[in-house]
Amino acid sequence: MTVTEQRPTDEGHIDRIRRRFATVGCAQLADAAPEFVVPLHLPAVPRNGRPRICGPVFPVATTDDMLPALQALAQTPPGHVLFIHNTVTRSEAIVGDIFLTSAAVQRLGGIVVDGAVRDLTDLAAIDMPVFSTQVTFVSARTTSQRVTDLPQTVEVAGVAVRPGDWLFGDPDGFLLLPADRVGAVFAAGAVLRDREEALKKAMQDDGKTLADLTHLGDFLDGTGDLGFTP
Amino acid sequence: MEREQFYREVVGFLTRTASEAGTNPPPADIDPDDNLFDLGLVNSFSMIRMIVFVEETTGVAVDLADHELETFYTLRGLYDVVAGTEERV
Repeated sequence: MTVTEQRPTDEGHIDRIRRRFATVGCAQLADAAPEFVVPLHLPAVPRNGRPRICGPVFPVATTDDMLPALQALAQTPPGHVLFIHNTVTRSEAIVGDIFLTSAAVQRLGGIVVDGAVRDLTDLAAIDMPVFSTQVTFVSARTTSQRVTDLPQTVEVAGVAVRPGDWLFGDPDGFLLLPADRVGAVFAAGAVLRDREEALKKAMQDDGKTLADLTHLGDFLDGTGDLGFTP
Repeated sequence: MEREQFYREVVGFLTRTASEAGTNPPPADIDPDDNLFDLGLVNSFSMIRMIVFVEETTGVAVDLADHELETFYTLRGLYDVVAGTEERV
């Protein structure tokens, strides 16, 4: 039997996941469900002091051209993360303060730019996470080359970023999840987080070390197995 | 799916996974309110497989965002989640 009652990606559902993501990070999600998590090795960093981002992804590719980004911004639904992949190596700025202000007004989940942003001083005042791999004050031009297929699947660091996949990003990095597994993986990640916290508390309360809990001495002596499970 | 059938399905799953892992199977007198972690039947790393099993068996996508965490620790809680009877938070 297949899952037949998939959750819609409505704003309320996305917002509930986002609030949970404040305490369950990429590390827990990856540990709890490695079979579903796709690591995205993107060297993007937060550009306005908001280090966590999550939501269904709305990808678009561009080549130093604002028009595809503007078209994608106009179509990205509330709660979704606009993911802009600039195909050039040295990017001109695709996102600035005006672009991000519009994203905030549209209640997006945030913006990730595989490329450059600018206006960092002004971005800080806008309550909308924005990540990028580069920064430059040089703005990308706007051509008349319209994009007719939005959203698009884009390939980044050897990984396909597909429309509707969920993107999670925090100080540990980025990962992707299939939309139909987000609930299950989040539940498992939260459980893992809960058990980890209990384990840390037990260590602090009882003075146990990691070597104690992993039976490291027994393992090194050849008298026992290594490891523990939260 | 009826509650008792759901319990049997999940216990069957836990029995199979215990057999594969070489660990103790669920006790014959397992109670719907027993903590599956405390019984050693699931851990943080196997939890995802149980949740996916529940989803695929019942056809309902579970969602942590709507439920308290402890709900996922017992058979009764799991059923309440998929049956929609767990109080939303």
